[in-house]
Amino acid sequence: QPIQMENPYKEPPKRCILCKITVDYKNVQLLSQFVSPYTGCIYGRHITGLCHRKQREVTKAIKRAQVLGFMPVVLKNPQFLTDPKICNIKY
Amino acid sequence: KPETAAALKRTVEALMERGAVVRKLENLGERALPYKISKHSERHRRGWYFLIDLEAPPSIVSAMMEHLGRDIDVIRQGFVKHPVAKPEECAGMIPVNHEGKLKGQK
Repeated sequence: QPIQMENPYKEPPKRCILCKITVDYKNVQLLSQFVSPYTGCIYGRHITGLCHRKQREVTKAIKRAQVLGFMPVVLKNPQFLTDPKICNIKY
Repeated sequence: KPETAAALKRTVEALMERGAVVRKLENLGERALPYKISKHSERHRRGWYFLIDLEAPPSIVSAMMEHLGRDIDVIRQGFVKHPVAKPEECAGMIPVNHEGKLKGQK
């Protein structure tokens, strides 16, 4: 008779890329990686691939940095244009 | 440079008057602003960034925003809460069952 048990070969659930990293409104470089270089609009969850909590934190931090004068609004800071690609987007 | 020092001193003194305890004062340097800001009939392109760590009752906030808004040397002001270090609760990304949600299953 087969014994009912949990799947022993279960993999641990995947983590998003920002899992262990605290998101701060001051590190503009990290925040600019989730912003479009052409329009400056913030990418959605289907593009960034972040989990719910981290996406919300990143969005809040970006808006805060934009208001307080740390990050530009309608464009991406040209210093950070050559950063490695994190988001799942094709230009 | 002496003007910025004087402006800083004024703000810190105003904060101490209202009963705020200043813990740290960090200088984030002089940089070009991300966008041109027009304040007090002047268009600004470069500015000094300062971060003041302080403990204060929340009633100070509105009074200080007004005070800093009137100060000519301050381009933009803002109060931000300290980020509380939350415990690591991330359970990882569990795949969402969209079909189940559509049919209202639980």
